[in-house]
Amino acid sequence: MQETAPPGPGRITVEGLGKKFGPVEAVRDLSFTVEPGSVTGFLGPNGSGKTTTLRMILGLVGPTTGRALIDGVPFAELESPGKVVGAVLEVQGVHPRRTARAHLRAGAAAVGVPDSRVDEVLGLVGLAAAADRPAGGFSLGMNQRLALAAALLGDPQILVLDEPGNGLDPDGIAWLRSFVNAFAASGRSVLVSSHQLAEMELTAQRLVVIDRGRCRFDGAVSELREGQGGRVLVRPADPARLAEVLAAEGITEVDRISDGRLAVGGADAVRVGDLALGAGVAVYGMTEERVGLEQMFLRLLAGEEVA
Amino acid sequence: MKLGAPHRWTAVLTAEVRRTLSVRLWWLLLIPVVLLALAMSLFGSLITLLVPSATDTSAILMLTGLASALSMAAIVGAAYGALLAAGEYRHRTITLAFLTGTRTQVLGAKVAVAAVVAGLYGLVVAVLGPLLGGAVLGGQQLPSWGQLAGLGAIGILVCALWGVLGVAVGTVVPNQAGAVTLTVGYLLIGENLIAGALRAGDTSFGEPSVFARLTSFLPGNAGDLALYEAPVAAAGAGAETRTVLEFLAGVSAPPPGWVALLVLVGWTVAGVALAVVVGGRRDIT
Repeated sequence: MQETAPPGPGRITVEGLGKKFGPVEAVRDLSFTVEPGSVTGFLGPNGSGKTTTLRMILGLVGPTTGRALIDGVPFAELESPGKVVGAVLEVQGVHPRRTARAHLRAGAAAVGVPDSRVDEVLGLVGLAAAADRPAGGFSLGMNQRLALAAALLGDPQILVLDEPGNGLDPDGIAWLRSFVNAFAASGRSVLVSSHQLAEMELTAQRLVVIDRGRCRFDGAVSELREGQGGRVLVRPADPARLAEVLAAEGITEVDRISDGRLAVGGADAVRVGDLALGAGVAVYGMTEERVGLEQMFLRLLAGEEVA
Repeated sequence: MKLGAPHRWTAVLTAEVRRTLSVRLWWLLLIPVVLLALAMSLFGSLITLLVPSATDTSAILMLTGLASALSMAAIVGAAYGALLAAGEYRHRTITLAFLTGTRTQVLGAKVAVAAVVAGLYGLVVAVLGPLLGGAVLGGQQLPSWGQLAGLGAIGILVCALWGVLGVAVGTVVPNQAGAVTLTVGYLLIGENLIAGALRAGDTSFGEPSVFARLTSFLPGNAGDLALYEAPVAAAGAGAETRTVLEFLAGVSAPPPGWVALLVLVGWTVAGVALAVVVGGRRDIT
């Protein structure tokens, strides 16, 4: 009964994935990879096709086009799927009369791990005290922890989490964040979907942003920041004169803010300061404004919509 | 459809057994089964009241009662199978099952569990029915052990097959209430309506039409034919025998019991094949 297959590297490859539910195109031509050792955030508004994509990766939904591979093979062809991928999905149930322990014992048998693993994962997610209670009486947060415990039974290389923050209290979210970070730090991969950008900013190193089933961005969080750029808020003695000087240098993304400051895009504080000095415009104050992920995300969606 | 290594099948089957034993459904349905066995004994005591002294027919009547109780137990078995399969969708536990085993493995495990549990229902009726009935029928002439064991074995088989068919229905119709209503409704009412339509225009004299002959090949009737073979055989050969069998099972021109059993096996195989295809392609959203 011992399974000796060496653990794969834990890479998810999504290639041209698409899904139509009747006339509705839920996901269209989606491609991205999830690399081991990193947390990849899967970001998009509600109804953008995140859950469908995750379920296609896990073989629960059949793609209309393209394919999703885990270590080079479709999920359905994994020898011991429970030892490769653990997943916490949004609608994942437990029979209300089954205890947490019984639920996990069945899972442990299917995954092919000893029963002692049940107590380990119960302790890991902090459910040891509720182990023998029927899951029907669990809170949303407890169910979420139980689902995570089930996902961890096989000590998988890949963790797929669909909106894991739902139902968790702030303590739980902080705990989950540190758990996910430690999991990825041990060289394994995490793909976590969310519509909460603030949460992503704290965990994800890479981001895949989708909207209405299409990929809007795929890359490192830092790349997204660079692509969007920041603004420099400057308080000059003569705003009109500075705007002229900037325009002459090709910096046209200049807005006059109601308090008399200028918001300058496309240039950093050093360049704006140098130009102001050269033109003899006194500068009383200058701040670089870093764009938050949320703002970038909204810009990204809005920009693509126009395009 | 991916088969996978043998140890994966045992792993998924172990998980299914643990899931089954951790909820009460399987033994809750034992209650109607035990009630059926009691009804069977009631049947026996009625005979004693009507025919106080031992007669040639009391053994036949007892076998008939047992066969009809087994036929009812098969319906409970079918309901169990349907609840087992569709329940996973209702409670959304199918997601975890499919994340830890292939769809064919999960279906296979359910088929095995349903066959054993439904077979157990058959066993309970086969053992408890004659015990209770026999106790009441003290002064009567009882069927031989061989007759009882033979009928019991066929009953266990028919119940097991219906448990598997229930799993197939519950997989194809993943709505728990829908699957149970469909299975039980078909067996209690639906098949009689179909049989009635097929036999429409036929008289009880003369050769039955081609359509009427089909009635024996409906799954419920096929199981009943296999069960009623024992009491009819006990009654001995003769033209009357066929009429009795036709009446009991509601069919025309019945084939031998073993053929009927094979017909039910055929339906079961077809049902499971359909479940493999439909359940294998379904999107779990």
